[in-house]
Amino acid sequence: MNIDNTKAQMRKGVLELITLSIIEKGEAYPSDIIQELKNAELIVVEGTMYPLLNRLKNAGLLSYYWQESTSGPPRKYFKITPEGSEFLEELRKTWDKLDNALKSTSKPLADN
Amino acid sequence: MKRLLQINLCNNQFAIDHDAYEKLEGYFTSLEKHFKHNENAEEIIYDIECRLAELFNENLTKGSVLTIRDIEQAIGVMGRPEDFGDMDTEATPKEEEQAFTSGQSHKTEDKKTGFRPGKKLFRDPENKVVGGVCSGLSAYFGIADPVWIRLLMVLLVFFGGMSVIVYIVLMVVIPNAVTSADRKMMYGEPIDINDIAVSVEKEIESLSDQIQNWADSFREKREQKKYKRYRKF
Repeated sequence: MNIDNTKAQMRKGVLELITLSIIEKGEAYPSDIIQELKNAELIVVEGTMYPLLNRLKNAGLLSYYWQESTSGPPRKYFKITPEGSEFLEELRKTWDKLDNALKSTSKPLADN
Repeated sequence: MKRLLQINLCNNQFAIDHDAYEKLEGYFTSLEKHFKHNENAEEIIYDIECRLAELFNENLTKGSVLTIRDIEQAIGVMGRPEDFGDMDTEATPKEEEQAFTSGQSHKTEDKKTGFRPGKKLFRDPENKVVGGVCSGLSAYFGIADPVWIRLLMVLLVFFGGMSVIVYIVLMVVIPNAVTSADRKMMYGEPIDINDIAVSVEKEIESLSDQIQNWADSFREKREQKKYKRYRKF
């Protein structure tokens, strides 16, 4: 079993959840999202986010609008769609399940 | 002496020297190569282009020229395609792309055998007895119950025993269906984001079962050890 593969799979699932959570808080520009994810040590380079945001947008979970910027080209701001909120809710439920599973299964070990 | 070039990034004009231009061009080529199986490659690359333009604007004093250092710095922030990771499950790898497009053309499915083009032969670790070869084969040929292939394999043992060797060869040659995309391809189903969400949920459930099993066996071992220790005294 390849640990890196497992880690990557876990991160990948969580990354969608967290990206949607960040955007749910308020409309966001990719760099803002990226900064939050970098702080949380979930991604290393910005380039990771562009295909992901594009995919979420094309799946109808996100929408965007253009916003003029003082520091160069107009920026794409992303916001969550009603489908996106539903999707996020589902992901959160799954996450809670997983979290519960982990807690309930690892407790006996912590007691010993 | 350096030649200067004028470029347009996301509708922003930049002066750039020749080395820096080559570096930047190489970077865009690598992006195009990385996203060549993504149908939205153009949009993604344009987004990246705009972000690069923004980074250049932030770091460059007005009227100065982009040098190779500026390009390297910006690429450092954006990352090279090989650092992007596999975050775009749906479209980047070649096989998945094929499965995706062939999944769209379900009409070509052969009703009799259940065979769909774009199907790929995998071993099925979830329905395995030995190595998942028989269940993988039955998924590939659209046979509902892998027991028929297994029976055939067992029967063939009595005709020269070749099937044992064949089985071992197949087990080595056929890859295991590891990801949910692999499983989709094994059954020839189109890859769909909602399906993947469902399979991820299933995987997480099976993962929690597995964690439970590990926890149980770990506890058992601990208790056995304790027991041995007590016996010593």
